[in-house]
Amino acid sequence: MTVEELEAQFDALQNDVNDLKQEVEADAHLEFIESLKKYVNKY
Amino acid sequence: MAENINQNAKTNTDPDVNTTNTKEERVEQEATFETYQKETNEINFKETKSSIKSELAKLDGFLKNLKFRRFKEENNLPKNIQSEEDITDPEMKSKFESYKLEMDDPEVQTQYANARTQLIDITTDRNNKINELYGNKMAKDEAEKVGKVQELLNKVDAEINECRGKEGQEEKLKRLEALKEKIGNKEEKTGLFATLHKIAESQMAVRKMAIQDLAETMEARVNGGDAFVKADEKIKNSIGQLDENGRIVTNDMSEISDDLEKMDQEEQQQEEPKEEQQASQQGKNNGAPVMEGGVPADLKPNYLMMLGFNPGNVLNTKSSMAMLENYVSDKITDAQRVEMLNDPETRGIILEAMDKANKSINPINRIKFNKTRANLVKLAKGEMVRKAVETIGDAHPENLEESFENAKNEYASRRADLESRLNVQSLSDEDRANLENQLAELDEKYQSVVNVEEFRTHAAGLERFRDRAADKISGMFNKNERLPLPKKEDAKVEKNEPQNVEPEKEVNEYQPVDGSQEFFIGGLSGAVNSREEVAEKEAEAIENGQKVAEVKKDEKNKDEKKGPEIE
Repeated sequence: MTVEELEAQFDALQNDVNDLKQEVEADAHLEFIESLKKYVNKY
Repeated sequence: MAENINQNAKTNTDPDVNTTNTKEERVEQEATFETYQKETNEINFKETKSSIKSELAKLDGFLKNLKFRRFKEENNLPKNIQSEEDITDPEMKSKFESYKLEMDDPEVQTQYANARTQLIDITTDRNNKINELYGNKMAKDEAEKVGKVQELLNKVDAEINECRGKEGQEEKLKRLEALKEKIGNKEEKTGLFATLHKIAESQMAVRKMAIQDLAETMEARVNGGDAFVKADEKIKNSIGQLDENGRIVTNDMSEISDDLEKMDQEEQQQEEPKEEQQASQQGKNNGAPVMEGGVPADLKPNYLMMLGFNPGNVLNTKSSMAMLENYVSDKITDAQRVEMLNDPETRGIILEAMDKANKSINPINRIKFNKTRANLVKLAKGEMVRKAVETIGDAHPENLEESFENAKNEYASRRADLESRLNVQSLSDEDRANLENQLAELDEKYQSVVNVEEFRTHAAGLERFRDRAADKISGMFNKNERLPLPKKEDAKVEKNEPQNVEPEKEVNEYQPVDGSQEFFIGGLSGAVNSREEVAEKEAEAIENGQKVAEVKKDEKNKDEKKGPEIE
């Protein structure tokens, strides 16, 4: 396997991991919105 | 895979769309979350409640029967008296009604212990199911990525072994070793593995929050007590309570059933407005026209006017943000806000606006949204304050100290290593540049650790916020208070705290630029300054949003160039 191929695989994986990181952050954000919704619904 | 990511990045050029995900992805994520929420609610409420009911009914039946048997024995009742209903003599009947079982009756103790074990099992089972539900998806994603990174590392190692010692392979070897360093080490949590480790930690935090939230909702549904805790206490109280003759009271079971029935009714009442809302969203609400986002057009005009929402207009991001800002502004009183929330239709509009705002956040809107969010939180009751207290607890310096020290030591050692490698005179320009880049990257990573130190200072300020918010919210929502606010003595640290508290830094979050004592934490934030002062500063910051970001970026670059100092 060439170094270029390995580097490309690394870049793809890094992007993928960053994507997962964003997804987790988005989940956290959604969770907060959900908790706000619950608060509103309690009235 | 990289192509897909690039494609996603290209579709995010719309400034009014979330900067990290496409609309479709957001919708999908929300749908997934909704499903989790729904499934978890099912587990929480229906299954648990029905199991508790069944256990209580069994215990109730047993105690009633035991009471009759003991009464019959002690009073030598004839054999033909087979149940309570067979007692016809008024005097005997009255005696039976006031009869209490002995507290130390072995049969009572055994049955109570059995019932309690069952109730604990039901609750444990519920918690396990929630963990399973939230844990599986996230753990699977993370494990998959860790596996792929490890796979790549193995390939790189194999190539390194192949090249080592061979002539003409020096350049390839250098590149492979640089790549290996970027990939890092799973055990030592370096490189890409370190990022994955951080993701796992975030996921744990999200899971914890989600479970905690559901538990709080459950508490709220039974007006201040978890169904299990409530039932358990009732049982303890009813069996443990002695009358003046030293006998235990056993006829409280009906109260528990009543409570559970009440829960049923409340749940039903809460479900009904939802159904109505859904019907209106589908255009079935007596033929009423439906706005974009499923908002019915025949809402109460006075509330709509107060919120600045025109039924003739489309509810878009801009109008949603404006409405939310109006909702939390001084134009609307606290009493009116409560009235609005009590009105299902207006509440529906507010929720729609929150959804809309959340789905379409660009950096400027995020600033506005954070402001709105901060104000919404300020309006929250005891449960939100309690959440703030718990968040503060999680973020407390003591919990961060160890990881902070580890990270700092690791940084110092890696920096020293890189510097010693840079001091080798025979380095080629390319190698030097490469090492310098690594050093810059390392310094940049260290900045995130430094933030922990800021956060440490910040935690002290948050405790002050908790105290002030508790007082303010307590006054605001006194009539509807359900859950206890934190006690004063929990926040005694105020006097010894530093006066100038740095705001916590958060990616894409608005930070006060003038050192005002406003601070943010995770999903919660609050202001120490007066509302007018903060609003003025925020308005200025919103207007100059981009400039602020640029200035901060410049400042950050400047700091990075200087390089952090090791204590």
